[in-house]
Amino acid sequence: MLERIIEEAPRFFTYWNVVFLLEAALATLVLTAVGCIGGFALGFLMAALRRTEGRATWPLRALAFTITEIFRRVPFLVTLFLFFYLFEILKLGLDTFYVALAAVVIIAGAFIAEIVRAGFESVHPNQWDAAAAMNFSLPMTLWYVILPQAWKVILPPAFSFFILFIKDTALASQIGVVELTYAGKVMNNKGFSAALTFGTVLVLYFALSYPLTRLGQYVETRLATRRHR
Amino acid sequence: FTNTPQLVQIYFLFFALPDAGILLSGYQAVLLGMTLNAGAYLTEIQRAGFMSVRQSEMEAAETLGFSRLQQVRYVVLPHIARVLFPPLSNHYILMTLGTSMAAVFGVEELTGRALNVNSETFRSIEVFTLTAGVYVLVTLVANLVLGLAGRYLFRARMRLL
Repeated sequence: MLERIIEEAPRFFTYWNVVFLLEAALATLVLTAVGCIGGFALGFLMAALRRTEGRATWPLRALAFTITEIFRRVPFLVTLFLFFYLFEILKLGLDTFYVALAAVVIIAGAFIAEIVRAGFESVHPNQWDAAAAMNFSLPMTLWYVILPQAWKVILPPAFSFFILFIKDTALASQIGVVELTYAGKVMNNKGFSAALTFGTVLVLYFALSYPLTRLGQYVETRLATRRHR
Repeated sequence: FTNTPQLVQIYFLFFALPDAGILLSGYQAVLLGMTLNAGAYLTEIQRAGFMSVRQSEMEAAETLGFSRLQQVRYVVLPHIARVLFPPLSNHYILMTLGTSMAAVFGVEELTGRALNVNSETFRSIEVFTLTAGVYVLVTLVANLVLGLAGRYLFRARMRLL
């Protein structure tokens, strides 16, 4: 196995192959980044919606609840296929990349909504009552009162979720999105040995997610020291 | 293992090991990959649990002449079971969702079966909606059972649904 890898390596690491792999890595990164940013916005919105009170907004509350509960319980792969066929029926003619992007945003939104909600709940109810007593609207309450206290609770799990997510985007290869895993499959089909191609892919994923892990740890320790002060 | 995707790990096991003369069926490769991956994640979770035990407790156990195994069994475990149970059961749910990956390697589990039925009938939306529904049901039941177990066995504070 080893001599085969060594023998193939010069043919494998040609300029175009490396560019192809790096482009695929970029696609993975874009998918993750957009998914996380969009998902954070969506998740935040849903968590905020679930805090609303009053009869007029209850359909929104129910919707947010259903989305978070369902998409957290359905495997990513199944959601991807569901979106894939849904978009096909709608005949939007979108690239699979955007289909994957939509699925990624929804799923990230569902997971982050739970994280944000846990953050909201970590703030003492008195603070909510005090904000209500001062006639703050919900966005004002969140912005001026809750967020400054909650973001320390929200950030560490959100970070570990982002890192988890880099790896989940590997499943997008199944609907034909050209990202890192798919690139590995393509190279494998071209006749390079699986150990070499998937080994390289593994290394690239590691290079993507390890810095983020370290950043997450750094943020976590900084927040932790501040919390104890 | 925690820094690379599970799917690629299984690809590696499935396609690369035959080069070294080890031939795994899809099912075996997925099982092995998931075991390794879960092992890595659960190590992280349990390490956090072990670190939550106070240093003085360990010292006390040492003073009593406990062996390393006894320390873990009588001092560490009772402490951390309560803290550790919720994240462990969370991971169980994540693993349930992770098994859908086996479909890629031709294992006939829920998602794999759904893909097969889909390619026979072409009623994709119905098939995958139903599949999603089954997954929701399975994880809900798992959550309920694990939550009850956690409450009664370890008095862990858990959300049931």
